Amino acid sequence: MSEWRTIYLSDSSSGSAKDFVVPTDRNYRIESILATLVTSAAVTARNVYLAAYTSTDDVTQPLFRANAGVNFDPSLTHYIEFSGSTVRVEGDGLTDSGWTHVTIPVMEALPGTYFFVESFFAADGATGIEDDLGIRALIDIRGTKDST
Amino acid sequence: MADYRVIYITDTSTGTDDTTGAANGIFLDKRFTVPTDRLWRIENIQVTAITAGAVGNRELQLTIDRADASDTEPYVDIRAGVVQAASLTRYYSFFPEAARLTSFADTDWLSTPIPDIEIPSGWIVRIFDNAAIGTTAAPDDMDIRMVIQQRAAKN
Repeated sequence: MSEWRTIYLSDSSSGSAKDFVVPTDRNYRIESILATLVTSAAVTARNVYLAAYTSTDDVTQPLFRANAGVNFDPSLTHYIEFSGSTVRVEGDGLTDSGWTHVTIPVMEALPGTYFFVESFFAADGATGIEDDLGIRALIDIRGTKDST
Repeated sequence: MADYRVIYITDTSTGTDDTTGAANGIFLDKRFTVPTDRLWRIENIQVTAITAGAVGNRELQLTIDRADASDTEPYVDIRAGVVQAASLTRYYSFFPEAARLTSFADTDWLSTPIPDIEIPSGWIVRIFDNAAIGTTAAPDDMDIRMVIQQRAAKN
């Protein structure tokens, strides 16, 4: 296999869920995913989680799942940091009025692995007013074949 | 020794011992044996535990032991520390970097740290309900996905 290098991944399109797939002949290791959640005015508690599945065809049993464990209020901007190397901020203890941290496993993801970040409840159509959730990720990547 | 590679392991069988194929039948209990001439390091174990109607509080326990799944003094013994009652679905994540949660986040997710160790060939990783609540008439169900670093143990 080749050496690790770091790539940046950004998705600020509208919608309350974001996803990405590990490319063919590549392995990923997540260093950090910062999710920026802009909640709508709908009065309902949102939760946010990050999950990884073996593929886009197999989304019932996750390889891992990590919930923020925070009820995110409406009409605010929240920042959720997913990383394997910092300490979890638990419960509703948001820091600096909108920042929280979720510890995730430092794991190497194989080609085809499907990563999914979602603000749920809002995505369930409880109010019809969808949140916006954007992500910026730092990812270690390496080739899985000697020639890549 | 050889360099490691990552493998995924999935066990969604119902009430069956993964190592021996023998039906244990009733409560949450799955075992994984490190193969011959291989070493394992666990990156993550994801458990989906679905309890049936039998009344009682289940508590997940993870042990790592030397070719023995019933030793009362295993080399590694990890407890989820939070109980799960009947007729519920809960998600558990066991990984070295995990924060130890003392209650389910978002009502259904719990993370628990485990030691970052290299597990020798023949050793058994067991995840089970140490209260053994499930019954034959109302069996609990547990699905497991593991992310493992595996490498050869011989040159």
